[in-house]
Amino acid sequence: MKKTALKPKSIKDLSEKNLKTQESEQKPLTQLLAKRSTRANSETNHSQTRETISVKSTGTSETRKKSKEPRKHKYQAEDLEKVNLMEKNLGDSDDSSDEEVLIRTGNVPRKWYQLYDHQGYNIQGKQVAKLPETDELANFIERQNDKEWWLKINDYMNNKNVKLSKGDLDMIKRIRSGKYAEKVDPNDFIVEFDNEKEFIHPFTNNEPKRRFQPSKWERLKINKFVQALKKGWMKTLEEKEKERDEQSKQEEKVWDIWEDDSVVTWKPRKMPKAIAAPKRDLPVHAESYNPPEEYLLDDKEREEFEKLDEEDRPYNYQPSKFDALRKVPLYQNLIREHFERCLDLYLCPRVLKKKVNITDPSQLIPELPQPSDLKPFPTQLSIEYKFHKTCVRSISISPCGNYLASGDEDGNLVVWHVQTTRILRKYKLENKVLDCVEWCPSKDRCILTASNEEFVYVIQPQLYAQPINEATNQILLQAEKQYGTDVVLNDKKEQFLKWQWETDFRGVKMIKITFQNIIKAIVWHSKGDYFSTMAYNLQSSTQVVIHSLSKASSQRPFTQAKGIVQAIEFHPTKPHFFAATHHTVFQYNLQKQTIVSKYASGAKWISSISVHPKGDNFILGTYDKKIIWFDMDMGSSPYKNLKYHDKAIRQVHFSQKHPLFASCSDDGCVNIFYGLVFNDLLQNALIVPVKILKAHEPSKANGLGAMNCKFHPTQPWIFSCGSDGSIKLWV
Amino acid sequence: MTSEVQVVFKTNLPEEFQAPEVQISIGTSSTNKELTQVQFSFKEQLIFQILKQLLADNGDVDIKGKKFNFMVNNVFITTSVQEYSSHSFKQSQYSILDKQSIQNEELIEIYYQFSLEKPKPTHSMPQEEWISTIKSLSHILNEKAKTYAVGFFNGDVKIFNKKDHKELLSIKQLHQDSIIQDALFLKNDALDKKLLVTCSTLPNSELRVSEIIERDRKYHFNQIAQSKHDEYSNINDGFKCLGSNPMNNEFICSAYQTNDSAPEKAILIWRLNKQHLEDSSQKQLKMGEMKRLKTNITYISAHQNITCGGGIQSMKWATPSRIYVGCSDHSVKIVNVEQAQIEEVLFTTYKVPTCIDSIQETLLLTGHEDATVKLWDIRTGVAERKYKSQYESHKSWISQVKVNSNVENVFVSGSYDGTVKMWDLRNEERPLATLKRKNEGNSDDYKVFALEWNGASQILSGGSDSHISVHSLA
Repeated sequence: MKKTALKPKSIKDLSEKNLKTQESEQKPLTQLLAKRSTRANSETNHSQTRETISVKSTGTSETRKKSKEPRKHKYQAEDLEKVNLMEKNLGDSDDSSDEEVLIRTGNVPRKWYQLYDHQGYNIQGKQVAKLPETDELANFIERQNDKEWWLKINDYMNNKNVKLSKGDLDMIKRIRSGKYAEKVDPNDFIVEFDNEKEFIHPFTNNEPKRRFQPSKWERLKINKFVQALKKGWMKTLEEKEKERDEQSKQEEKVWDIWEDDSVVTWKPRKMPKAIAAPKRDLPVHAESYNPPEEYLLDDKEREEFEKLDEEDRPYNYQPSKFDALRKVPLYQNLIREHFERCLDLYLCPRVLKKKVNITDPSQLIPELPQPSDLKPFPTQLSIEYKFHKTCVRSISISPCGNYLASGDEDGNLVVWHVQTTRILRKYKLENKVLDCVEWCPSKDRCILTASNEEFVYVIQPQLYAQPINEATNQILLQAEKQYGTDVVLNDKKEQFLKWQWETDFRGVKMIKITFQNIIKAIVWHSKGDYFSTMAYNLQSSTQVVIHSLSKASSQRPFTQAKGIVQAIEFHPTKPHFFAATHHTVFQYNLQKQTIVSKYASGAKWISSISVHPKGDNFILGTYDKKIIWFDMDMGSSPYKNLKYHDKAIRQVHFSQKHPLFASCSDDGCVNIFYGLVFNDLLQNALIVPVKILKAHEPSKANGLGAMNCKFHPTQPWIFSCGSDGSIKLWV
Repeated sequence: MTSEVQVVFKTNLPEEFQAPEVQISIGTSSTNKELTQVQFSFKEQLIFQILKQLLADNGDVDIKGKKFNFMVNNVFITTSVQEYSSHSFKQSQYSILDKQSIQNEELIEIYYQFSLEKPKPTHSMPQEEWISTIKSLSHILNEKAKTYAVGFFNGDVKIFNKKDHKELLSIKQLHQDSIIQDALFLKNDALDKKLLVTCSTLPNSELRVSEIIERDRKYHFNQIAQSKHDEYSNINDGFKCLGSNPMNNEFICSAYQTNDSAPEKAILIWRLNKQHLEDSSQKQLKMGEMKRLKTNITYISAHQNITCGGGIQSMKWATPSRIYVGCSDHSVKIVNVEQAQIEEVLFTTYKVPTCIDSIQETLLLTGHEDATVKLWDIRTGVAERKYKSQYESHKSWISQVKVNSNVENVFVSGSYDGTVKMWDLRNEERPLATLKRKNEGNSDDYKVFALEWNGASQILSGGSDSHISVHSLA
């Protein structure tokens, strides 16, 4: 049996253990001491001790047996001093000299004897021969035959094979389970004294009771550890190692790209972070019991101070001066202030202010492309159209881009040739102010409409190709016929307006529609048959009327007014109609007679609307200086607010061909924006302000600047008109 | 720091004005940038003095009244000596060769030529209407021609004597109620007639060919042909410009303005010879259009259609096979007439070429709505194509640029700012001269629409002031 192999170190460990057992029998004092130390260790070092024991278990029985003998005479011989000395020497447990061994090796490693026949010397100095070697086969046979082979161990030091007794096994078990080697009955202590001498005095003071009892504080401490381990706050070394392994594994972990994001794993709810109460103000000089003179109020100041509302006062106490601190009376507002403070603490909502650490402010600015990369857009003045003496309120460019119509506040309606500034037609209308001029957007009919206070004129300038001019004339003639028969057949025609057919100065037919209110805006449907008029500041269902030119009829699209409509527009592709009130834009479906959607602008007063030619976006101009971009797919809230003007915006307009839009304002500026709408529905529109054109000097009399701006239908040019009566072309 | 540079004077002038080819060292003020590259600045005064001396040595040439312009390192110096010495320029312009860096060892060649006289306004003829176009008869080929034609905004056309600018013939309402956009006045060899071709915008967009006859010192006109009504006038588009084949007067071309409605008919080539006209009238007979025949006007259709998208603003038939077309889509298209297709497209950085002219078939001048005139070289590859030079001095829309083959390196440009400017091609900084009208009224409202060289010595211009202004060179 080779099981006996024991290394010197392990022997030492074992002997330590032995010592403990010995002592436990020796003296209650030493035992208690040992107990204390083992208890502390028992929980933490549990596994470790177990391990070592399992290795060394073989040696124990021997040492134990050996130690029995010397114990007797040792105890007999010992006196008190010896006990004390032993206590002192507990630290170094190298008391192997006490144990008698049969073989002396000279304390050299065992392997040094490998080559010799002997394995040491006996007490007489004679060599002790080695036990005959058993080979593995013999071992195996013995293992098979002898059921108690595992109890047999080789005691190397004594050079004999030993069989463990039942008592030995018990002891090993106890040691393995972390108990003392020998079962001790606490009642069984017999302190053996050699009462040869009689002591006059008790040789110790009364031992306090606590010495005999298990420590309460240790128990508490250990309980704490146990609790921590159970709850997982504290981790054993094993667990820590495991964690470390897991961590290192996690680091190697590959991200699962097919992971289903839609399955939300449960997460514990986090409580909101506690927000510290606001700090109280630090005391100031005026609060001092002995403030400098300048902080004290004189009579006049006090009067002023008292006149102020309590909330407006810089502080709610009277600074006063005392010679000594002891003369300071009780502060009158003390309770009130404390009460207010308490109210503050539990009533005032607290917000955690996040401090943003900005090192480079330029990072906050979104990355926009350079305006020079977004060409073409209008940049400079090219042509000025000079005729009007009064404010030009409205301009319109014919769909072919060759003709420009403008209306001023003197009843002049002028049609210009765009490229040469030649005045081709000049109409003098009955009333003064022309609020709106608008070309029919169809290239197949040459029609110009103008609103002149209560009248709306439908005029034929006859500037397109001859066949088209003739066709347009036919449309007007047929409409007249239709209107006549309708009036005769039924009186269903709207009562609040009247269509009349007249001839202009060239003898060409034109229509005059008479309303009861001032008409502010005319918009055309892209097909060129329907147009809508909007009356000024009228809360009634008759404010917005849609007219059909070919049928010579007018109808009210809404039975109920949602508010005073500020701007109207047709949808470029769908049968939809936009009506903007002061704050809200309504999108109506004209076929189904329903509201499609409602857009809350967040502005105080909308002035104008323009729909993107693709029909998915529109912009609003407001009197509170903002341009508001709506993406219809993004719901009822604005996509972007652009504030670049100093004064109210009069008009906004989208370019039909280029990704541009513009706004004109009372500050006299026309701002050009690049607004690219992507075909990809997922991508938001790209909006970049590219140019400010200082177009018109705002007039001092009425504070009006640029009144209207319109893009050329094919070129990246913009026309602007102003209160000074000028019309300008920017290229 | 001063140092000396070797210069040599060279010129194309007649022999008596040629300075001996001697290397002369001139003291210059220079700034040392690097050792090898030194910036020199000459004083023009000094050059002028030296040249004077050189020529004085040459013999008895009177150069007192002469003025010279110099060209150093391909930069044409337009500031006159007088202006120069009067210090009216900024300090930066004080030295001529500020921007030039010249190698120290190089021999600098200074070319000189007579400086052009500033054109002086000589005549100003009031008219009833705005002038849209002025065309002199075969302005390139025939120097002997005696007349020029003027088109008006109300559709009238007038013919003037070239020498004394007297009105010879007035045709009222040639194009009814329409602006005459462009005209051609040419001698057609095939018909052996002097022809006046005019085109007009909407609402009556037509092309008309009339014959001008001189009989007993009186001029008469006779309408010969007109674009077919149902074929060309029904297009919702106005005629914008005309051009004639530089080698063969039989062919003329016309172009529509926006041509959204008919891009395949954007450029029309018309053939004006006997056979074509006769054929057309034959067809009319067959179709039984007797009524129209009574007027003796043949309704003609185009010889050839060339598709060109983008809307045409300006056109120049430069060589027999090539037409340069300035389009509204910010490009110049080079159209091959023989293949009837677009050969190349030249993009003009988002500006519309409102007018176009070509110099010696390879250089192209375009005027733009942003008040710039640009010079292009067609020979450079498409990849690195950028304008060669840009002439910026006008304040508004450029309406005309005109080159004269008799006056080298010089062109004139007319603008809506009411001025006509004369330029040397080699100097893009400053025009040679700014031409103003004789009796200047309210110049704000004046726009130049028409501009034409009258031979090599006169410049005709007209516009919204309803005056034909004549400027004479020297």
